[in-house]
Amino acid sequence: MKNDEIVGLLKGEFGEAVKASAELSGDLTVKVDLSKLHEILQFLRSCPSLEFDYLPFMTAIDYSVYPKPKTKEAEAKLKEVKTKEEKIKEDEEKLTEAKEEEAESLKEEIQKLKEEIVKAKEEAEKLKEEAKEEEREKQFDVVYQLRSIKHSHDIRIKAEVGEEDIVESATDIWSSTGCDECEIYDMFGIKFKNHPDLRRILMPEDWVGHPYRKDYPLKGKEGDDEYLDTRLPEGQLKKPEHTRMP
Amino acid sequence: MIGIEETKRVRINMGPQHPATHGVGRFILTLNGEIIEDVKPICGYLHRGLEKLAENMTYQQFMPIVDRLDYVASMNNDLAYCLAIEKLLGMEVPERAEYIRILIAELGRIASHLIWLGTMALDIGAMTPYFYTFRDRETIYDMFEEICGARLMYNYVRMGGVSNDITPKFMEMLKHFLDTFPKLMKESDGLLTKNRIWMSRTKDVGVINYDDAISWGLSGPCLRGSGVNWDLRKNRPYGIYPSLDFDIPYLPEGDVYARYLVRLEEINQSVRILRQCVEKIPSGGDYMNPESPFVRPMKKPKEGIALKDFVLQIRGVKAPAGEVYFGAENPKGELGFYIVSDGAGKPYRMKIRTPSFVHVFALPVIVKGGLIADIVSVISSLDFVFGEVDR
Amino acid sequence: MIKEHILFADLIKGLSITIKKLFGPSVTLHYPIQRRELPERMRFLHKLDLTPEGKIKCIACGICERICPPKCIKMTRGTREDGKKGLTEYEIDIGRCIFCGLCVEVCPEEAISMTNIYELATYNKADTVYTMDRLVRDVPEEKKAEVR
Repeated sequence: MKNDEIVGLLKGEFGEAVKASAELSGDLTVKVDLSKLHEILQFLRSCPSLEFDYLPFMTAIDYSVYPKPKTKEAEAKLKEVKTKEEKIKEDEEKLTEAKEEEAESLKEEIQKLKEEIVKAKEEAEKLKEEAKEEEREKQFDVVYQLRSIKHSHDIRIKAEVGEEDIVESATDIWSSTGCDECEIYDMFGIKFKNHPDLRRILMPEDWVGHPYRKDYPLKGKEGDDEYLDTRLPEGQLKKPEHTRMP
Repeated sequence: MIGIEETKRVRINMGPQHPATHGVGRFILTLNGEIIEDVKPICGYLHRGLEKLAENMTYQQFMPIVDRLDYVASMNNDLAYCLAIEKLLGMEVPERAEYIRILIAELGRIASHLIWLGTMALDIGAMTPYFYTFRDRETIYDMFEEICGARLMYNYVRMGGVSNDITPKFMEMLKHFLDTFPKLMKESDGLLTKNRIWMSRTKDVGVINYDDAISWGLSGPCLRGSGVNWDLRKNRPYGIYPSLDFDIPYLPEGDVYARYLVRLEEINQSVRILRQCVEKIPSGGDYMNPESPFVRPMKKPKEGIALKDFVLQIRGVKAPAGEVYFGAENPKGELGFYIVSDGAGKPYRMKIRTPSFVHVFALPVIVKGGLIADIVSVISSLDFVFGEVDR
Repeated sequence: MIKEHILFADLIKGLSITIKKLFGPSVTLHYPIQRRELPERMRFLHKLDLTPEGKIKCIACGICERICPPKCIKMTRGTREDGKKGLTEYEIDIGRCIFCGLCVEVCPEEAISMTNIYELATYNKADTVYTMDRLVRDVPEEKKAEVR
């Protein structure tokens, strides 16, 4: 099945819950609403013409420090407008004192600047509207990469998730999501309901914090070494020399 | 006669220092007599946070770290990572480099399968094949040493080609290897395949059926051992695989013996691919795309070095904003890189999809209801490496 | 299957393979006595290269320090004995180094290269840090002060 057919099928079934779709270097990506996420996944698995039976991976992305170039551009444009307005004021002050010949050139300059300001303001507003796409309500994205072995096509499903949200587990659809959901819970702190065994799998079970979040420092937190020292094996007298990346 | 009124469930801890777990894996087994009722895999003993590290390194700096994922098939890891970056950047690779890549990838596949065969035989109790397979693997490692100077952590493939051209001595060694290896492979084959102890330890053990194998996300030889005809080299072709002639072995039984036979046949198919590559490889030409920003920029003539070359090395090659997923067929299964780029020289987020991670968590469903003596052979047949599981 | 069972065909086949090996050539080396010939491209202990005049090639640009993935190279810049500014100390911590060879690859002056010296084990952890004197290998011990 072709990518646009899949999107059409999804949109026909779920309407507004399918927010956006894009093709990124050949991979079809569809953004969906979190409240309908589980239903959509179930539909993708069970619909006979789609039948996504294989899940290569699922993961989460922390978007809290993702750059927003268009918002930045809009801000820069607004700054430009401000500096030009100040220049007009300066010129108008000069105009009161200036002679006739100079006055005419100044007037022309002011006229030019005013036109430029109008243009810049329009552009800034356009950019602001475009920048709205970059704005996110929630911090994380959950990503499901799906594949159909029978029909040999791929799709990627994304849904925005906040820290407080609880995502419905997909273990009843694909068993392989079990370990991936554990990893996401461990590394990002996103909780899943109806999961048979949700636990920290890579970090120790009493570890505080979620390492793959963007606010977690790369070299670990300050108390980490003490945490490790308190959990030395029995009979080990010499404390290990903790090495951190310089 | 003493009647047993009730049976008690026993919990046994296996690992992390268990030779049959191929690393630092730990499994908590719940036993009812000799029957396994439940397995709880516990991992994380080798967790290094590679995905977090990748976010703080340039694409090129992360190259040597990728070797440390599946440390018995580093060449294949390198290739998968480079192909993912090339997909993100839209880069082209010269023809000779493509052939070199296939050569080393298939050699890496053979080396990885040889380690698997030796250790699996050792785990089940046949010690002799271990020495034969490690002898053959040694010749492959000598070849890798010849072209890139390292035995295990190669760091050889580059975005846009490979880091060094192959030498005439390498080609000589390769031709010699292709002549002798199939004969040597028959030794291990003769020792194991028809051996009755081997067959009784592996046949009808650790069965996973077609639907379960797909649902639990198995990949590579484990998936094909359950009758699924799926290979990324055929179904999502990359490199010059479409122009090569090879078969995908798959067997419907889904037991340890089927996975064993699939891997053995894969070794033969790899030899077949290697033979074609040796014939077809162009004798001259670039081994690296000269327009690639990753081409050794500092090795230009002296007047050619500019400040921008320094900046390129330190800040990294700027990839276009977007996201990409690329999965390559590794010896263990599908190794995929999901890269989210924000337009900087470092990835914003990198998820590494490793086959072993999925296989470890599919173990409970495979061994449930089996005997405790069989868990070792099932673990070996799934062939996981804990460098990949914990990342 | 029955035929095999009676004749032990599988066992005889296996045994014949192993017995053949008794008379074949040995494939192992007696390591400390016998040594392998290593290929040219081996990536082991680093070496600081010298110009034809016998001075260190390094211009202290610091790119190897920046690109090193485990950050094991430490470079100090300052005024040297001859009054010129440049490299005063260069340290590689072999305990951290992963021998990836990126430092050699990016060096604009080809001032650093890798040798095939692979026996790097020490009794002392401090010995794993290789200073500039130990990294210059082309001149005898007493002349090492002159290379700076």
